[in-house]
Amino acid sequence: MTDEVGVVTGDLELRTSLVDGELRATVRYEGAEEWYAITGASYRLADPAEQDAVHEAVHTVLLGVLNRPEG
Amino acid sequence: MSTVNLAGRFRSVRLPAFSLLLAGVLAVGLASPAQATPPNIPSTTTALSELAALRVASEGSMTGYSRDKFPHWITISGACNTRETVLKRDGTNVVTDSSCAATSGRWYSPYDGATWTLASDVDIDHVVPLAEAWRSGASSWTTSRRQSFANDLSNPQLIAVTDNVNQSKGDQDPALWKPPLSGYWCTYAKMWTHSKYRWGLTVNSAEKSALQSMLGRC
Repeated sequence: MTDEVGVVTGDLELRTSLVDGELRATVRYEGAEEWYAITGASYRLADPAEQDAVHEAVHTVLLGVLNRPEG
Repeated sequence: MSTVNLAGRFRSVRLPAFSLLLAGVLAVGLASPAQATPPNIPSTTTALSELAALRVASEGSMTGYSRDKFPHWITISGACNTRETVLKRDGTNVVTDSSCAATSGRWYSPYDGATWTLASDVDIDHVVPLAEAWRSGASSWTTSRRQSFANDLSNPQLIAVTDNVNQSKGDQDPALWKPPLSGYWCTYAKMWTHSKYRWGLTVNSAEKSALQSMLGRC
């Protein structure tokens, strides 16, 4: 579910961003020109020392959770 | 300010919900209110022949897609844009202010049977979603043609429905998503088929099968 266009299907790209301690996840159709916020997927990280590691871990986990190949 | 991005690719049949959705509040529902429906919904016979005439093709890519390439909610008449025009058409006792915003009225959503009294609870659904149109042929259209499609009041392509239901539909065709009320599937399949037919869009084989099955309920 995305904030802007609801459910999106097909081949998608995930982008997670860490901006001043806030982690956000957005998706777009592969090769498309606009990104959509995954509903509810933003979080402020408390410990600056851990931010990069947490970011990478969350990104990996999200990719695994979101990937739902057909067949 | 520092920004760190990580990127990855995946395939999602449906991007699952990460938060509560569809905390559906059914508003007052009296005996089925009179409801204006989108124009030019074909007969079952016509819809079946239109479906048979649609070209079957696998879906194209989403490369280059954006909603900006389907300019929508353009001015239709006076101060009223497309959304406001459909709200007036599909609602009952709709009162609008000088800027054409609906200040009161009742809207029955045939997708889920809910009735709403706040226009903010109602979305105008593109029956054939913009993203679905893009991968069914609209990627090669001019922006002007895409604008006409996105604001099409002449065919059954726009309808006022519950906003959460529109969100849960997203970009999905009838093989993946159908209205919650199965009693509406026949009408929905007629609308979908006629819109694709009028705009010369393709269907994929799963979508065609779903439409045939839905038209079989008529």
